Order: sequence, then structure tokens, then C-alpha cells
Amino acid sequence: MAMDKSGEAIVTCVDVNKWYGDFHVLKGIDLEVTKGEVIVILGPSGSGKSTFIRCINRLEEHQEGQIHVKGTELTHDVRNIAEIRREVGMVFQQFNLFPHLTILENITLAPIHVRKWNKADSEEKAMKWLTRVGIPEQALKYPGQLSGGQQQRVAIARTLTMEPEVILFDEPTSALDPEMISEVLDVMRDLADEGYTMLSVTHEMGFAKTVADRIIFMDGGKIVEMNNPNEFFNNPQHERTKLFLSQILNH
Amino acid sequence: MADIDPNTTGSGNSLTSKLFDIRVIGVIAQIVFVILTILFFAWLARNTVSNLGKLGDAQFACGDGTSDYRCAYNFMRGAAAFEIDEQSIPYDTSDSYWRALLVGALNTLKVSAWGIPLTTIVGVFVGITLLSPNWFVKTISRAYVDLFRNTPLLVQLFMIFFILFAAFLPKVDEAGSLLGIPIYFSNRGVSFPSLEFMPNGQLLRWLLLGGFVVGLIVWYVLSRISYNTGRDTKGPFVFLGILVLSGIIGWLLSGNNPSTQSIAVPDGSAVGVFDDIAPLVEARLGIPLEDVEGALADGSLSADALEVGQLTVCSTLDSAAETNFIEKLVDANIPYDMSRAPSSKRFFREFDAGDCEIAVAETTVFDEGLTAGSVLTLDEPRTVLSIPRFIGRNFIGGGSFSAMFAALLLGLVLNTGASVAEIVRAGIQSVSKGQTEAARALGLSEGQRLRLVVLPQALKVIIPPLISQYLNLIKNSSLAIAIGYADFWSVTNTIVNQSGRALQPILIAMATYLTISLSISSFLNWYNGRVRLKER
Amino acid sequence: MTVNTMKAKRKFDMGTFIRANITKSPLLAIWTVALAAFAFWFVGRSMIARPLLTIPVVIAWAATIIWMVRAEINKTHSPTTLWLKGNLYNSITNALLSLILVVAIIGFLVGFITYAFFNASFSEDPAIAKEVTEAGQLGARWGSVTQNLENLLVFSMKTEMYRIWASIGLLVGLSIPSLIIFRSAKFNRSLIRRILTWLWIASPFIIFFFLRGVGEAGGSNPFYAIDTEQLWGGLLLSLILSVVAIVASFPLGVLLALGRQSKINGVPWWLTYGTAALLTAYLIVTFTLPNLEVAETTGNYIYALLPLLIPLIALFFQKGFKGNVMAGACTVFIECIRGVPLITLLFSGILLLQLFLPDGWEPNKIGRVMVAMTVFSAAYLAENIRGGLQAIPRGQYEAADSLGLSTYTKYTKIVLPQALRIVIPAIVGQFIGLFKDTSLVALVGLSDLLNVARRISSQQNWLTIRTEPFIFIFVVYFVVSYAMAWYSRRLEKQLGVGVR
Ligand SMILES: Nc1ncnc2c1ncn2[C@@H]1O[C@H](COP(=O)(O)OP(=O)(O)OP(=O)(O)O)[C@@H](O)[C@H]1O
Ligand SMILES: [Mg+2]
Repeated sequence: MAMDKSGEAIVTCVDVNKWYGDFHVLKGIDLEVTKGEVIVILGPSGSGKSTFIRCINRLEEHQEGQIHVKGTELTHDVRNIAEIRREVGMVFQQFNLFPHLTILENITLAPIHVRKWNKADSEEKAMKWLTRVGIPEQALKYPGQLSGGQQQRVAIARTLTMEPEVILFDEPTSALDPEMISEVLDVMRDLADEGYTMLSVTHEMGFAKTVADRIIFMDGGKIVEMNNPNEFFNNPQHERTKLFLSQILNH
Repeated sequence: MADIDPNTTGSGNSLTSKLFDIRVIGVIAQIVFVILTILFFAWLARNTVSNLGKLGDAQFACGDGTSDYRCAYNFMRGAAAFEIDEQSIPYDTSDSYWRALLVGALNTLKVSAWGIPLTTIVGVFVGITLLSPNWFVKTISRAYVDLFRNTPLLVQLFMIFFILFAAFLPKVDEAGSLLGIPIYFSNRGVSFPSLEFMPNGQLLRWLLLGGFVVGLIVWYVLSRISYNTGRDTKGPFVFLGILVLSGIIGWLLSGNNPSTQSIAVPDGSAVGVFDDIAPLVEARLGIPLEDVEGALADGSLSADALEVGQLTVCSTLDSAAETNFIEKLVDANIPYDMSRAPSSKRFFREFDAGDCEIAVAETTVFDEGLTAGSVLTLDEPRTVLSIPRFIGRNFIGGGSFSAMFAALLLGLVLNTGASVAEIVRAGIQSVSKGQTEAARALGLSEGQRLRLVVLPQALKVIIPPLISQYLNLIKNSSLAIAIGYADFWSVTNTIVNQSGRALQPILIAMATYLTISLSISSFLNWYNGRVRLKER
Repeated sequence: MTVNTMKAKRKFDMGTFIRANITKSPLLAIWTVALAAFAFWFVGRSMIARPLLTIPVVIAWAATIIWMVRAEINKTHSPTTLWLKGNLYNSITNALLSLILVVAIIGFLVGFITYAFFNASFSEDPAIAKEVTEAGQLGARWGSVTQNLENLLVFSMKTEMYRIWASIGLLVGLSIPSLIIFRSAKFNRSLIRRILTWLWIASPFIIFFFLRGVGEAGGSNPFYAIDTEQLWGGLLLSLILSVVAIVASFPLGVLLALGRQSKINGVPWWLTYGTAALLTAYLIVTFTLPNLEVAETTGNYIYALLPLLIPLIALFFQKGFKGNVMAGACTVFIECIRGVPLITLLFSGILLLQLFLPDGWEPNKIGRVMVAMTVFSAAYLAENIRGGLQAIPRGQYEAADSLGLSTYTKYTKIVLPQALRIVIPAIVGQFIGLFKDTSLVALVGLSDLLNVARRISSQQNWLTIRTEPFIFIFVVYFVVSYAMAWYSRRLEKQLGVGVR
């Protein structure tokens, strides 16, 4: 299979199908993500973007096809699920920080309980990442006391402290005020530069153009078009893509 | 794990990997849970069986000397052998435990049926006054609600029964009317005017009931129309109109036919028609009937002489026929002494034993059980507004609540009413100010605003908790046992003591309460689901 | 209809005023006239009965109205006149109502104060009390309460007061440092704060140990076990029962809530229906048929046909709970308990519990009542906690999952801490309910506050005296419940503006 040949492939999806009741949300998705690649997923609302990336860490269950992460197949086996969730981090649109824990506790919870690192190590790594995202001084505050942009950066730090192989972003900037978007995008750009493997659903075209290695356009549960940013934006192949781009760029 | 073959769905199909399958884990966890539960219940059952064994075979006697679990409830068919003070169906100590339970259940039903509408009235009224612009009104309502919500219902019941009723209300012979309205409160209970339907007025009764229901439906439909079209459809007036119309039709249809039989005299009685009674008693007393009261007062007629001379009447329960007859006696100044039998069996036993000169009951009762004696025809109106009068030692006529019933009802209504008031207040307040202002901006009148905007939205919030308050009222009526009202639970408890069996009666009681609760809460779920659907 | 509408007008217009208040509709006119007549009659009666109090009230009423109306006409409102206008006299109806109510309140208060103070006797000597109260008209004999104060509060524990003092000492000892440590941010996350928290959590258990004791009397152990059934009573018993019920029901309530909420994959339908079919078939052969043969009464037939319920239950279970046994069992338990009145559970505890227990387990009446109240409380607590669980946004679960947290960690570290915090006010509310419900144990013969009060009327000294003890316990219940409710409302506000 493709994955074996490349050796570099870190996420492999083969003919992934998913239904909500009778509604066919994902229709045969094939995708191979190699290590260090940054993929941006675009598509109109309801096209199944979120559903797709949420299948990769089993927040949603796919019913047909295979998803492999680092050679582990996502099955009903709880060990595989745990294994994959350790390796795949996720950043949500609504941040989903734990409101009853301090920033530091938010970040160290999973390292301590999942990675089984000791508390001191975890806190050290957490502080390192907080420094990286630029808010080390907020460590002892509660999420409610932070701005949206700061919260999202904490969420990124929380994900990264777990040292995942792949990071999923589901519209990380959509819930932010315009002035806060860039502070989050900057962090993401840095991560991309450092070679993290990222799959990101976003409406930030600038980010997609400059940072992505590949752009995927989804519509109606299918991958309609997949290309490098240059080709994708300047020379879209499909009518649907053209329409979408014209709508977006006219704004 | 490195072995990845697209044709296999797992990373290995061994048994261990099946064991880690999340679906299998779910089933295993449930099987373990079921086994643990079964073990627990088996343990309970084993203890129970051994403990029941120690209680002896009599617990499950079949009546033929054998003993078996399937006869667990056979004892319920035995004679209850205890009195029940209040009954809406005939009941006698020789009736079965089942019958006793039924009497109790009907008593629970009675207090709930009165309690629920009264609670609603009190709750809605106080809920609105809680929002009154008048500071005194608001403060008094708030005080009532807080006082009743922060003290136990049981304490309230005791205070109502032992303080308010026993200490503050007058004795029965001193009871005065309430502001001139013939409602009498005494420490024995409450007497009030009531509409009595005579047997030949039944058509009128059913027509009135039908008119009421149809009127309500029409009112509802009209209010929907009004809601949709904005026309004022005058629902309440149409409702009243239908009610009055059905009353008139009923009155005309049932005709003025003189009545069916409702009194009986023993064979050989001197009484042939009603008018025979007065001369008979007059002859026995030796003075004109009009003078009896005066004679009693000035001492020329002794109480003993009256005792001997007066008319003796037997009756069963508290029937319309009785009221009608007594009214007639009173109109004719005939002194009488009446005894009420708790069941028709006892009634006929007393009548046959010659305890009374006249027996009065509903026609159907005579049809069933009269063996000797003859039935007299009596002029009888279809319907009377029966007004309670204090005669002898008791109030005759009208409706009445015993002190126990009245105390329980009052306690339940005041207690639940306080909670309902809070619900209503919260419901009204939940309709946001914005809605009110929007309605005003649209130029709706104050009445339209309440009817079209506030009420429909508030009701959505109010109805679910309101229904659970009704359920609470029904469940709380089981506190009747504290003040001696024979409700379902109180009768159950008596059966436990009387029969020496605890398990079966308590199980029956719990199952009954559970059935009521579950039916009401499934209705509530259905309602909530429907409302939620509409909101989409 | 109101002064409000008049405000919009330039000048006070008598015509508008009358139209709004009286002649707008015939009903309003009738109502206003009737109310005025009633007010006249009512105030007149009061004037005759209590002239000294009523006349000043009426004068004050008239004067404030004139003051307010003048301010209204001349547009010279002060805050006081505005308040009067808004709250007391904003229409004729309300002005009349205000008068009637104030006179009624005065009548009631005068009556009550006369009864409770002026005509009352505070002597504990029944003879004196009788003399004093019968000389006046109607008066309270508070001696019945004061003489029984210990009984009402702690019942026979008055011989074991050191246990109560030890408990109170513990609570005070914990409260004083708490006032400092939980208030200041300096101690956030400090060890001492954690210790204190744990001590608070342990305090019900320690107090229970103080009050009940363990071991034989006579040794050096001052907290030896006592006969709780004989000694515990009064307010103390009510408090113990409600605290025990809420504390003991807590773990059970959490488990029930989680169970009812659980989304684990259910038993597949073929397994449910298959088992049900087999079981039914087996029982029909071994149970129904033999029993049908000997059946005589309707009851016997019903008994014999009971196995036919199994398929129905299976259907209900598969359709209602999608095969989830835990959700099914927890729901059934919760709904069964909530569906019956507490009193039936209490009687079951007293009469039936013994039947289910093995030889040698013989809890006394208090123990049995505790079991009943705990089971009762658990069902309601479970529903409260479930409410909290439902309030947790799905994102919290997803974040925990995406971080790879185990189910156990997810619930203990993320979901439950948040859910429980949300339901604290509801739990306090439930505690108030339990505290009030403990009065029901009077019906199964325990000496709780209500029962002690009830029995005073059969004491030689205070035969038939009921009102005073009842008023006393009414006040006690009210003060305790109202204080807790007030505190809970404050807590709710704090939590509302808090961390989240
Ligand atoms: N739990 C669910 N049950 C049923 N249908 C769902 C569910 N979740 C999503 N869907 C449907 O699946 C489709 C894809 O949803 P998805 O959230 O993946 O869209 P999306 O591409 O992320 O859109 P957006 O840009 O608005 O986030 C939508 O039509 C949605 O209505
Ligand atoms: Mg999405």
C-alpha cells in the first residue's frame, strides 16, 4: 500500500466513508499526509471538513475505509485509539480550555496522566511552550481571565506540550476578534516552519497561500481538488473550486 | 503493528484484540454489571425468603391449609374489620381489604381532585401578586411564599389541624356563617351550599357537564383563532353561553315529572304518603308541630319526650335523596332523629330490624336490596341548591368536608400553592422585558399583550414544573395519616397493622403511587418533547 | 389607568384620571366602588376595635396621598413621593388596597403580639402560667417551650452534652481559620488550604463519631458507643438525619447520574431479545403452566402469567435505552424512588428493611430511617447531578478525548469537578428539602423536633398545650431553612460571576 512505499507517510486515509444516519457525510476520502507537511482544508460550510479531521483522532467514528496514523490503524480497539490520540493533537474553534483549572494545570494535566511524566518535568515543558506562544506570565490565571487570542494560544501550548506527531486545527481563528487572529496565526506559522505536521481547516486565505504545502478543497463530503497553493489559487481545475474561490475572494 | 493490510480491519484478529474492542468492552461491562446486580438481588431474595420463613406459613396461607407464594395476596380478600371514617362508596367492616384500599384510593383521589384546581387558583393569584406594583401586596405575598416554602408540610398540617381547627374554629353548634354566606367553619369541618342533582335531574347533570367540556373546547378553538387572526373572539362569553344554554336545555328536557321512589316504610306502617307523617308525629308529641321549638325552650316538652315522639329515619351515606327528604321534614317542622349507615348492607339490616320508621336512599339502592316494606313516591325537584342548616347536632344539607379532609386540603393547597406561585412568577418574568416593549411598540393593548405575547410564552415555562407540583401534591397527600384522614396510604398502613403482613400492602401502595407518577411524568416528557419540537 | 399615563400629560387632568380609574369599563367601576365600600367597612371596624392605632394610620394614609398628589400636580416630585407613587398609590385600587392591607397587618400584629407578649406568661411554673394567661384573654404559655428547650434541641443527648460541645468545637475550630484562608488569594493552592478542605470533608464523619461513638463504655474512651435510638432526638436528630442522608447519598448519586448518562454501546438487540425469549420460554414451562393448572382466583392467574412481562420489559429496554443496561438500571432505580412518597420509603425502612437483611444485621430504627432517607436522597441527587453533567459543553469532553485522557481521568478531573460546582446551589436546595422532610420521621415514632413538640401536650405540666411548641418549631424550621436558602442564593450569585 502507498504508505509502506513512502515510509514518510504519517496519516493515511483510504476510502473513508461516514454516515450520520442516512446522511452520507464523507464519501470515499483518500489522503496521505507525509511528515512535516502542512495541509489546509477549504470548503463551503457543511462540506464535511470538521467531520473529516475529527475522524482522524476518533472524535467521530468512520464506518468504512481505513485511517492509519504512524502505522497504527484506527479501529474499535481502545489501545489503538489511545495510541493515536497520544500522537494526534487538536486545537478547536472554541478553544475548549478547562475553565476550572489554571492555565498551567490545563497544560500539564494530559502530560501527567497520559504521558506519565512527573509533575516537575511537565510543568517545565508547559512553561517552555507558554513562553513560545508568548504568555508565560499567565500561567497561574484561569482561562476565563484571558482574552480569546490568549486562550487559543494556551490551547495550542496544551496540545504541543503533549509532543504530538500531527496537529489538527479546526478553524482555530474563527471565534476570535480580528485583532487577535494574527497572534494565533503567527504561532501556527512558526510551528509550520519548525516542521510540525499540521492539518488545518481555516478560512484564512493568506495563511493558506503562504504556509500550506497542499490545499484540499472539499465539497459535499468529497475531496474535489487537491493541489499546491500556487496552482490551487491561480489555476483551479474544477468548476466548484472556481465558484468557491470567486465567492471568497470577492469579499 | 507495522503489519498494515488494507483488507483487514484490525491490527490483528486475535482474541485479545477482540477483548480490547470498545464495543466488546461495553457489552462485557454490562454483563458484569448485570451479574453483580443479579447477585445482589439474589442475596436480598435469599435473606427475604429465610426471614419470611421465620415469620411462619400464615403469611402466605392459601386458605385450604396449604401455603404458597402465589397466595401472597389471598388475605386481601378477607374482611377488613376496621372502620373508615370517610367514604365515597359504601364500605362496611365486613368488606374486603381490597375494598378498603379502594375507599382509601378514592379519598386520595378526592383530596387531589379538589387540591389541584384550588392550588392552581392560589398559585396563579399569588404568583401575580408577587409582581404587583403595590408594595404591601407584594410583601405579603412574598411573606406567605417564604413561610410556606421554608417549613415542613407536616408541621403546617399539624398547625392547621391542631391549632387552627381545634383551637380557633368554633364548636359545631356555634359555627357562624362567613360574612353572611352560608359557609360554616367549625372544628368538625366545613359545610357549604352545594348543587344536589336528584335522580330525575341526572339528565341535567350530564348536559351541564357536557356543556362545560364542549364550552372549554370551543373556548380553546376560539382562542387559537384569535391568536392566528387577531380578532377578539370573546372566548369566555361563548363558553358561558354554551354552559347556560345546556343548562336550560337540560332543565326543559328533564321535564317536571314528579319523582321516583326515594323513601321506604316497613310493612304495616301508618305512613302511606308523605303528608301522613306530620299528623302521626303530632299525635305522638301531643302538641302542634309549630310549637315544638317553643315548648322545648320553655320546658313544657322534655327532651326525653321529644326523643320518644320524633320521627326516626335511617339513611345510607350522604345522598341527595336524604337531603331532599330532610329538607321536606324541616319545612314541615317535623322533628326527627336520623342515623346514617356506612353501607347499604348495614342500612337494610337496621331497617329490617325495625330501627326506624322511614328509610331514605337513592332509588337504585332500594331496587337492589329492599326485601320487606314498601316504597313511597315523593315529590322531588330535579336539582336543588342545598344549603346547610344546623339541625339537632349536625349540619344537614349542602356539601361538607370533615375537619381532617379540610385540614389536609388546606395544608396541601397552601403549601403547594406557594411553590406554584414561585413558578408562575418565574414564568411571567421569563418573558423578557424586550418582548413587552416589542408588544407595546406594535401597539397591542395591555390585554392583547398579556393574551397574545406574555401568556403563551410564560405557559411554556410554567406548565412542566406546574405538573410536577401536581404530582407532589398527590404524593404529599400521603401525609394524611398524620391527621387521621383515611387516604390510600393511611388505609394501607391500617391493613399492615390489622393483617400482620407488611410486605404485600406496602408493595401494592408503592406500585400504585409509582403508576400514577410514571404516567404523569411520561405525559410530561411527551409534552416537553412536543414543545421543544415547536421551538425549532 | 395609572398615574404613569398621566405623567405623559402636561397637566393633571381630572377627566383622564377618572376615566382611567373608574369609568373605563363597567367592571372597573363596580370593582372600585365595591373595594371602596369594603375598605370603609373594614377600616371602620378596626377603628372601633383599635382606635388608637387605626386613626393615625388613616391620617398618615390620607396625608401621604395628598402629599403625593400635590407633588404630581405641581411637578415637584421628591424621591419619597416618587416611591409612594410607584409602590403604594399608583391607582385608586392600589391606594385602597394599601390602606386595607396596612390596617389588616396592624390587626394581625396587634393580635399576635398581645398573644405572644402582653398576655403571655414566661413562667415555667404551670400554675402561675395558667393564672397569668387566664387573667388576660388569650396568652401564650412560653414556659412549655423554655422548660422543654433542651428536649426540643438535643432530646436525651442533654446527658451527653460534651459530645455536642466537641462537635461544635470542631466546627468553630475549622471555621475560624477558614475565614482567613479561603478568603485571601495568598493561600490559593497552598498546602494548608488543601488540608483545611480535607478536614471540612472529614468533619461530618468526625462529628458522627463524636455523637455516636464506638466501643464499650467505661474505658478511657470518652466517645463510647451510645444507644442512638434512645438518646438522639430533637433538632439534633433532624440535622443528623439530613446530613447523613446527603453525605451518604453523594457517592451513590454520582454513580447513578453517571450511569443514567452513560453512552456506552448497548447490548445488541439480538442478545436482548434472544435472552428474553429463552427466559420467557423457560419460565412458561416451569412456572406459568404448573401455576395455571392450580390457579383459582384472578390474582393467581395474574401471578402465573407474570413471565409474559419479560418480553415487554426487553422491548422497553431495547427501545428506550438502546440496550444500555447501566442507563436502564439507573433510570429505573431513580424513577422508582422519585415516584413514591418519602413516607412509603420510611415505613418500608422501618417495616421491611429487616426482611432483606441477613441474620445478625439488625440496625435500630434510626439506622433504618437513615437507609431510607439515603436511598431517597440519592435518587434526587442523581437528577441534580445529571443536570450539572448536561450543562457541561461537549467541547470539554472532546478536548479531554483529544488529549488522550482515559475515561476515568476525564470524569474525575474534567467533567465531575465542573458538574458538581454547577449543582452546588441545587444540592443546598435539596439539603433544605431533606431537612424539612426529616419531620416525617415523627410518623414512624422517632423523637425528632416535631415529635418532641407534639408530645409536650401530653406532659403533666402542659396538658393540651400545643400552639406554643408548634410556633416555636415552626420558627426553628423556618430560620434554619431560610438561612440556608439565603446562603445558597448568595453562593449562586458568586458562582455565577466566578471563574467560568
Ligand atoms: N452529529 C451530527 N449529526 C447529524 N449530522 C451532522 C452531525 N454533525 C454534522 N452533521 C452534518 O454533517 C455535515 C458536515 O458537517 P461538518 O461540521 O463536518 O461541516 P463543515 O465542513 O465543518 O462546516 P463548517 O464550515 O460550517 O464548520 C453537515 O451537513 C452537518 O449538518
Ligand atoms: Mg466545521
